[in-house]
Amino acid sequence: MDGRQITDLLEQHRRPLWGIAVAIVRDRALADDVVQDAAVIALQKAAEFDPATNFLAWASQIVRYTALNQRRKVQRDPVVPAGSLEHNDRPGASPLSALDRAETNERLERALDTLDETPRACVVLRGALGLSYKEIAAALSIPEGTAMSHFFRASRALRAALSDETEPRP
Amino acid sequence: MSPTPIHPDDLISAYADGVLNDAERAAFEQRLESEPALRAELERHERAMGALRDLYNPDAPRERTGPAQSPVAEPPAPLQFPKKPRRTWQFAAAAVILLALIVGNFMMRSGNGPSITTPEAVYRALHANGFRPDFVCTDNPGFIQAVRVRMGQGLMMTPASLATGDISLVGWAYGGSYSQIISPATLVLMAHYKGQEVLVLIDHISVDRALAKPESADLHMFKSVVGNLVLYEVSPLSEPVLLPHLVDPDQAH
Repeated sequence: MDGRQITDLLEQHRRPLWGIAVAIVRDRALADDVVQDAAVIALQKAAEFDPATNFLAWASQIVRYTALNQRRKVQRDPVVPAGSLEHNDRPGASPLSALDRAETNERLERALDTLDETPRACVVLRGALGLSYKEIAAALSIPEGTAMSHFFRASRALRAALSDETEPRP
Repeated sequence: MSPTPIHPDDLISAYADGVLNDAERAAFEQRLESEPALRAELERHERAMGALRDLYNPDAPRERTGPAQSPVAEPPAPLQFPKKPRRTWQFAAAAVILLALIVGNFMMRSGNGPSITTPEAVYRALHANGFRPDFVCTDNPGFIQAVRVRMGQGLMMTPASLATGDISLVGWAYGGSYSQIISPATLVLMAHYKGQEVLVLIDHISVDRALAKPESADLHMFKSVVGNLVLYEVSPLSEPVLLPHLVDPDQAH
């Protein structure tokens, strides 16, 4: 397979690949970088991809390794992830609702920390990016039913994280 | 599709996810009417999913953080794939297509007035962390490719300059680890010149702006333009040592 074909496929699967990256590095800007670097690596290894196999699964492995390496680097020099510093403030949002959202996000981040990599990827890919279970299964090389079970269990953990949260202010 | 059996605790997720069959859904909705606790749990589920979408929305503007996420440590470990005969693949064709990736990248990075850092701050941060790259890139092929993927135009060191042994490429620091330098997509090339740490910031000339010059006398900054790219070199040296040797590979032959 040549570089052009690989690039087309990378673009086609950009969303799940980014989802895998962000589930690992937990920072959207870093996930951008990881996907870009993984794309370079995938192009370098274009000749090694067997077209008879699943491209998404192959590319996902590259993204995953790239993201894990990046996460290891960040863990050696821990900082607050950029994702947790930003709250996508919507126009007109009151400071109070921003505080609520910040607290919710913090609880979610902590709950995500407790999850293993695969359930975390499932909940991000399904809950945040809306991928189908078929796509998730292909990206993570797991059966669809397993992807669904991971999503359900991870969702339960996220709900539990919000369960003792102060009820939203009016 | 409805997994069988669904754990009672997973009914809420399954219902919200739309995977219950008609009978299961009707039974669940009946329970919702009579069980406030279940309704509250469903509301929590929706709140959690909404927050998750906020946190990990790929289309949301990026706010770059400080030079907090330091570039550190060793390069990514080599990936292990089944070995096959290596084919030569064509840079030129790939370059055209790679524009699609770049466009996608820029779309993802659409800004919302991010905070700005200075070249000097980036240099100091990298120096303080031992000048270790996020992504190792020590030869021209890798260098050309990385710039082309991100900027749509390649960039290379003249072979003669590398042959002297004075200049050695180190790699890339993730621009995404910093607040905006030139733009959110600025590339940060790390190199050594006779043992001195040298940075080159690379971006599209269309986003060029007046960068803050180093305040301290021990750092200097120089600028050049190669094709559609603007380059800023930052180092303790009193003259540019990389800029004169950085060329467009498509023009170099």
